[in-house]
Amino acid sequence: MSGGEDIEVQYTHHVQRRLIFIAFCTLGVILVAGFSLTINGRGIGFLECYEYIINHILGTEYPFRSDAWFDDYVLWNTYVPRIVMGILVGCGLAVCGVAMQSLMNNPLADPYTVGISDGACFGAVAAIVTGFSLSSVMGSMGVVTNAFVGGLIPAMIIVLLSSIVRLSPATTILIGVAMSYIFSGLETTIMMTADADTLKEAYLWQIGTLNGMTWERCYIPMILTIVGSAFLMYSSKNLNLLSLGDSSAKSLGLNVDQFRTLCMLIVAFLVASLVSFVGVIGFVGLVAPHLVRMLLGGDNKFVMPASMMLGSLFVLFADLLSRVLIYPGELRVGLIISMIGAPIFLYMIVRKKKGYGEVF
Amino acid sequence: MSPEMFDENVYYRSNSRKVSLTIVFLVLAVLTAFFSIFLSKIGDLSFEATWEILKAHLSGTSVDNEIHDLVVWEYNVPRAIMGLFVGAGLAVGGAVMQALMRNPLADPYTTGVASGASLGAVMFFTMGISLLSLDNYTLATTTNALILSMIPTMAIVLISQHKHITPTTMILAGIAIMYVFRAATSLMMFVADPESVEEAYIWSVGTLGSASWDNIWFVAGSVTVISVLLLLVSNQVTIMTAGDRSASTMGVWAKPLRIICLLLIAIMTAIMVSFTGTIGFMGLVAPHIARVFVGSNMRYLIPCSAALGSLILIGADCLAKTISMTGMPVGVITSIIGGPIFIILLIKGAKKVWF
Repeated sequence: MSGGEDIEVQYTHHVQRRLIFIAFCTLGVILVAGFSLTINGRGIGFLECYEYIINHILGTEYPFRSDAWFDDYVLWNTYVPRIVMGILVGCGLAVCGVAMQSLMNNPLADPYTVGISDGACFGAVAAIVTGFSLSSVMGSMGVVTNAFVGGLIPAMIIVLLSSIVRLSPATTILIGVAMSYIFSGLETTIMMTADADTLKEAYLWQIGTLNGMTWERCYIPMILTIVGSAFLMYSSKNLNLLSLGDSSAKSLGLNVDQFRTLCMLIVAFLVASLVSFVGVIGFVGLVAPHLVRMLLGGDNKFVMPASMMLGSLFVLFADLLSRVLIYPGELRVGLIISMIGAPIFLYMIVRKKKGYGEVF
Repeated sequence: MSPEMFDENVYYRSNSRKVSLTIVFLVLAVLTAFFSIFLSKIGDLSFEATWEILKAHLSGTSVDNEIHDLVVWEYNVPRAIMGLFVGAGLAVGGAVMQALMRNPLADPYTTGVASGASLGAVMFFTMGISLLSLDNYTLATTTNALILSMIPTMAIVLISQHKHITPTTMILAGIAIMYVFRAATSLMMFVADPESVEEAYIWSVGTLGSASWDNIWFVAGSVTVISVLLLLVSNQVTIMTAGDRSASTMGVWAKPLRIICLLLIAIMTAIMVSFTGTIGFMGLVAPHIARVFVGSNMRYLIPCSAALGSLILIGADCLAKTISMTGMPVGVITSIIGGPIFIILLIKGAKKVWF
């Protein structure tokens, strides 16, 4: 009797710890967002920023062209979208990372290391530069569909290959790396045949940035991120089953191949929508879930929301750094994230580890 | 006729076949390089005009059209020569590294050596930081590249000591090192000068466009010397593919030899990278094709890889010159060709053991 109670108490204790972690991350996101908003060129202070945002949401009207009206206008239309996009990117990439790691039973998988980001980037660039869209839809949705098809190629190649040959996690990632090289080569080819001066643009596309974000560009990623992460969170139990291995998952009643294909489609769509608007940002889907698993264990039900919050915090923090480091100039957020993420990736490869998944 | 005599004849015949194949590749490479001189989109240069300029320079007479002369003699000719030597150097580096580490995926690029060198070079020409505080531009770039290429080299030596590290993991570690260095390189480019992104890009993919008469001597000399040195120890390197312990019983001092060879390759890579940036997958593709023709004996593999490396790089450069009006960086072409080959090697490696 008392033993049973102990387990119950332990479980609630664990759940509490996880909830506290998520709450802390959310608080961190709010604080970092506030700091980031204070760099606004108009001298609006830390608390004032929150005030303006809350007032705007509540629908407060300011006298036309007054100081407060300008403050509100600048803050709401140039700086808030940036924060929103940062949160979306963090959530989206982290949730994709968690899903892919479980789907492929590979702790090193994420949209960037497997080549999905670069494939999507190639698709988007092809749409923007040549105006060629695979769907009849034009405009930004056309770019997204192209990016989706581009991102799907590496995703499907890896799913297919791993069903034909038994690939170790490391080999899978290397194939992804090779594909990302092919895609960035093709991308440069497209850019250069279009216009000699766009080489610079091609390069910049490969390093994500949140600069110049507007509300219009946030809508599509927002919808897809919410829908995609809701689905992936809903299927977190199935993802847990998959990490037991394919045959165990099958014997527990999961249609493994169908589920995996469906999830990869969603991941590709989500990543495509993000890449089309911000460019390639790597390692978020690798670092955030990894840290969360280290602290909270491997249950996807908690790993997903916690990684989403931590991912947002990571992206916003990196964005803040990118704006502060060479103020008044600005670095690109993708650069900062690689600077932090790449060493962690190296550490994950080299260390000897047992436990979640067998890496080598 | 005794069986021994017969065997010996077959052996010699197959060897002479290997040598003649290597010579064929070499001749092809030189011919392609010669052809690439005639490919230029700058100005209204015709085939005959280029030929006249070349003839004039070789016979010592003067040329009328100065711009044409500049394009052909100061730009295209060094570029072709640079292509020959860099292709050879990368291929030799790859062939030897693959044997030393018993890893079919190793080359100066996948193990991160080239990216380390690249960071060193960029460090000097964007920020003016010289690690040995030298003033000479070429020397400072190269020494920087050399010092920083030692970091991945040492990392490889250390990581390869672990028994549980598979060839794939090794390369993955190399690629992670590459990500770190590349991020640092981009950061430096951004901080130094917002306008230099284009330069950064060309550097990160590799180009032959910066070749000139001043720097090709440096590259040509180091590639020749180090390739010859590696060729001198080729028999020992061949024995080392049987594993360290077997090599030791056959009188090869395995560990020091590995470190010395890796250092030589790092030096060669650093020098090449300081002038061309990082050209990907060359050291991977050329040795693997060469192995199909001449087998795994390093005595034949090193020269044949070198010839094939030159041929492939110059071929890719011709392609790069024809595709784009302004001259696309050759590294783009090599990664489009090399990427799929890398994937095929990976899948093959998942099926069977190498050597």
